Amino acid sequence: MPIVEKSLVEVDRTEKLEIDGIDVSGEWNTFLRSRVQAHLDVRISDWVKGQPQGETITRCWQCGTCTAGCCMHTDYGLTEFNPRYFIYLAQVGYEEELRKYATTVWRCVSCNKCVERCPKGVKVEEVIHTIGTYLEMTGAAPESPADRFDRAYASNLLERGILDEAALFRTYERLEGRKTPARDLLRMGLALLRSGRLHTGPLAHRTRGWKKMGRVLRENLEADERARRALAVSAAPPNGGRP
Amino acid sequence: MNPILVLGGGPAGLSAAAELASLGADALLVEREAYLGGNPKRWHYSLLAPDLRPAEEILGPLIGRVEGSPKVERRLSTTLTNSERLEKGFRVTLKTADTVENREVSAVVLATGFDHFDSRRKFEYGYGRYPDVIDFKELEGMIHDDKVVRPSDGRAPKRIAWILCVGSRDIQVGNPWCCRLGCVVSIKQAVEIRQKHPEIDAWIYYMDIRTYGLWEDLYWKSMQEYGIKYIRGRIGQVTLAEGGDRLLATGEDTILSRPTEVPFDMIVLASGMEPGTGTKEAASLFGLPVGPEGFLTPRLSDMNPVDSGSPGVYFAGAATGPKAIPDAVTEGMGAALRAFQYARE
Amino acid sequence: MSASAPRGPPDASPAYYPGCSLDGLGKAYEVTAQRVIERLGLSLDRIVDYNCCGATEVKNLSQDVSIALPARNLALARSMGRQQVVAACNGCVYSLARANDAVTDPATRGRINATLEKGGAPAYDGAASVQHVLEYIHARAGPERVRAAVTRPLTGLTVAPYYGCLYTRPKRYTGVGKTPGTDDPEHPHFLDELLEACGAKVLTDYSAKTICCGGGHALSDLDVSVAFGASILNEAKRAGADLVATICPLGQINIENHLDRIRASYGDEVIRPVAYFTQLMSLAFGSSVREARLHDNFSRPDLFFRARGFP
Ligand code: SF4
Ligand code: SF4
Ligand code: SF4
Repeated sequence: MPIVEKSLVEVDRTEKLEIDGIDVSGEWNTFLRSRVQAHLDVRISDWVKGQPQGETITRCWQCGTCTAGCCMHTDYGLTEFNPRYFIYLAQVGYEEELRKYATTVWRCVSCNKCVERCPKGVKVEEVIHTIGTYLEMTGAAPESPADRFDRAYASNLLERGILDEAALFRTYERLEGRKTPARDLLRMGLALLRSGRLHTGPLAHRTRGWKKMGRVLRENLEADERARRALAVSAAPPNGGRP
Repeated sequence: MNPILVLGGGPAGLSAAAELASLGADALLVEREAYLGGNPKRWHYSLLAPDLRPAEEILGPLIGRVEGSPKVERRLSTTLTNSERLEKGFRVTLKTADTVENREVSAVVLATGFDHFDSRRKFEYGYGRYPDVIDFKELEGMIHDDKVVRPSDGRAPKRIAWILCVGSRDIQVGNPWCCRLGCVVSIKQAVEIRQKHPEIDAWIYYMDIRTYGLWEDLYWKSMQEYGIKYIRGRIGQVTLAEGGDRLLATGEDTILSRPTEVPFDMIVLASGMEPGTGTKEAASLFGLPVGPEGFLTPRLSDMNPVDSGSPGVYFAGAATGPKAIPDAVTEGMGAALRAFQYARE
Repeated sequence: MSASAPRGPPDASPAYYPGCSLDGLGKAYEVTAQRVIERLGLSLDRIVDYNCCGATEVKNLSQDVSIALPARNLALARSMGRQQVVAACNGCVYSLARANDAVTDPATRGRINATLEKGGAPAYDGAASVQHVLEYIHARAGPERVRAAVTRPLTGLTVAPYYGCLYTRPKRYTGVGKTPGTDDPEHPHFLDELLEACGAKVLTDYSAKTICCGGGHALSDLDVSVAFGASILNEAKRAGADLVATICPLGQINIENHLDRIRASYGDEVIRPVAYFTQLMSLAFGSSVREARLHDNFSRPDLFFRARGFP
C-alpha cells in the first residue's frame, strides 16, 4: 500500500465547520482525515491513458528524473510542482491529494526537459497537461490562465492559418480582464510599426486557401473537446474521490 | 575431427576452450585483443562480487588451463572475417594485422561478450567533460591499484556518489534492459573503498536495487557494516558546483519529494552492458538473428540457453545478454559440451 | 531511427519554414538569417502558403490538430521535392519534429492524411527531416567558412550564448545524439563555435544556456516568465557578458517584452542587449547596424553597437 509522504496536516488552512451539529473547526486534516490511504482507484489513470496526450502515463516507474530537471520545480523553485508526484497521485487515484494541486498543475511551461530525459519514454509534459485537463473537466480546478490562452491561441490561429499576434494579445488581455497601460501599448505598437512587423486586423497575414482547412481543423478541435468532456464526467469518482 | 572454434577469450570463451580440452577435443581460441581475459582483464577488475575474491584468482587459473594445454591453439590479435558452412562444420577466415588464413572447424562457440556502455552518450552526466565524473570500470582499476584519487587534481575524495543504471533501463539511449551487475558492482566498490578508507563517504543514488539471489547479502552488509547510504531517485544532471571544484548531482529525493543538489568530490557512473562489437559481427557472419536489444538470441532460451538453433553454433556468456562471470563460466562449459557432441556425431 | 534523421543525400536547397514568428515579431531574425545564409553560399527555399505550427499550445486541446498543423507544412515541403526542412524557431522545430514522430505510427498517419485531404492539402509521407537553422549553418558552412566570411570581427565583445529549452530537444523527436554531427542536447556548442568564428568571446560555460525562457506562459503566468527572463540576463551579468545572443524568437521576445518588469524587480544592472545570432553574424559579415536591424530589438543593441563605433 502506498504511503503518501506528505504530512496531511495543513496548518495554514483553518476552517469553520460543523458536522451533524458538532463544531469541528480547526486546522485541516488534524483529525478529520485518516493518515491511511485506503482508497485505490484506477479511474484517473485510465482516463489519462485514454487521452492520446496521456497514454504514456502507465510507463512511469517513479524514478524522479523529470522532477530533478523540471524548470518549475528546480529553476523556478516551486517545489510543490512535482511532475513525478502528480503522476503518482493519478496512478493510484488519490484524487483528494491531487486536488490540492488544482491551481499548480497548469503552471508547466512546456520546456520538455522531462520528455528529453525520462528514461521510460513517458511524454511527461503532455501527461501533466492531461492531468490538468482532468482536474479542470471534473470541476476540481478552475479554467486556468494557460488554458484560456491555449484556446485563444488556437482559435486565432485557425482563423487564418497564421497567427495574428497583436489580436491574440488583445483578446487574451480582455479574457483575463487585464489592461496593459496605453502608454506601453503605444510604445510597443509604434516600435513594431516602425520595423514593419505589425500585421494585425485587416493587415494580418493569412495562408492562401486556408478556409477549408481551417474549418476542418476547427471541427476536429471541437469534436475532441466534446469527447473529452463526456469521458471526464463518466470518469469522475463519486463523492469527489473521498475514501 | 577438425578443431572447434571458440570466438572470444573472456571468461566464457576461456571456460569453453578449457572444457573442450578436458573432453579431448582440439580448440581454436580466437581473440581480437592481444591478451586473454576479456573485459575483466581489460579494465583491471578488482574484487569480484559476491565473494569479494580478486579477479586474478578467478581468471588466472582459467587462463592457466588454456595456456597450459596442448589441445588449445590460441590466436590473439585475430578477428574472424568470413565464414562458410560446410557439410560438417565451417570454413572460417582468420585475419591478423598482416596475415589472412582459412581454417576448417567442426563447430563454433560464440563467446563474443559485451562492451561497456559509452557514458558520453548520457549527455546529462557530463562524462568526458568533467574529469571527476568517472565510469565504474575505471574505478575498478583505481581500486585495484589502491589509487582512488580525483583525476582532476590527484587528491583523495572525501565524498563519492554512485549513479546506477547509466545507459541501462533507459529508452533515451536505446537500452531498455537491466545490466544485472551495476548494482552489485557499485555496492561492492563502495564496500571496498570503505574497507580501506573509512574516512570516505559513499552515497548511492538508486531507482531499484537489484542484487538478486544470494547477492542480497552484500547489499545488507553495505548498510549495516559499512555505513553506505542510499538515496532513492535517479539523478537528472551533473554540473560543476559553485567554485568549480566539486560536482553537483541534481536529482529528486523521491522519498522526500524534494529537490536534492549535493556536492561530491567524485561521481561514479555504473555504465551498463551493450552487445559487444564481436557479437554484432558474429551475428552477421553466421547469419544469426539478434533480439531487439542487439544480443544474440538462443532458440530456446529457457531449455537450452547455449543453443543458437543453427546446427553447430553455440553461445556462451554475455553475447546473449548481461551476465555475471559465474554464469558465463557455466555457459562456457555447457556450450563446449554441446559443440563437442555435435562435432563427434 | 528517428523520423527526423536525414535519409538521403542532402538537398541542395532545403525547404525553409518561417513560422508565424519570423514573418511577424521576428522579422529581424528572418532578414539577417537570409543574409547570413546567402553570404555563406547556401540557399533555402521558402515554403509558400505555410501555416502556423501550433507551437506547444494546440496540443493541449487536440492531439490530431496539433499534428495536422505541422504535417501540412511538411507535406508542402515534400511536394516541393525536398526532404529537409529548416526552421529558425525552437518551437517550430519542436512541433515539426513532434509531428514527424507521431506519423511514424501508420494509424496516426492515415488519420492525419485524411484530415489534410479533407482540408485540401497534400498528404504527408513522413519522409522529411527537420533541422534548426543554427544546425543547418553549422553543418553546411561550419566555423571555418564563417571565419572566412568575416570582414568586421566582433573583437572585444563578450557574448552569452542562449539556446533555450527546446533546441535539439526532446531527442526522441529531433534524433539528436543518434545522428552523427548533431549538437549536444545538454551542453550545446554550435552557437559558441559560430560566434567565436565571428571574433567574439563566447561564454561557453554560461549557466543559463538551455534554461527555459518561460515564453510559453509569457502572458498567462507573468511571475514565471519574468523570473526566467531575469535569470537569463542575471546569469549573463554574473558571467560578465556584454550581450545575450539568441536562436529563438520566443526567447528573444519573451526577454525583451518583460524588460521593464525585469528592471523593476531585479534592477537595472541585469539588463543587457539581446540579439539574434544572425544579427551578430550579419554585423561581422559587414552589415551596418541598420542593415542588421538591431534597432528592431526592444533591448536596443543598436545603441550598444553604435557606441562601440559600428557603422
Ligand atoms: S522521469 Fe519518467 S519514469 Fe521517471 S518519474 Fe518522471 S515520468 Fe516517471
Ligand atoms: S515541461 Fe513542464 S513538467 Fe516538464 S520539465 Fe518543463 S515545466 Fe517541468
Ligand atoms: S543492475 Fe542495477 S544498475 Fe544495472 S540496470 Fe539493473 S538496476 Fe540498474
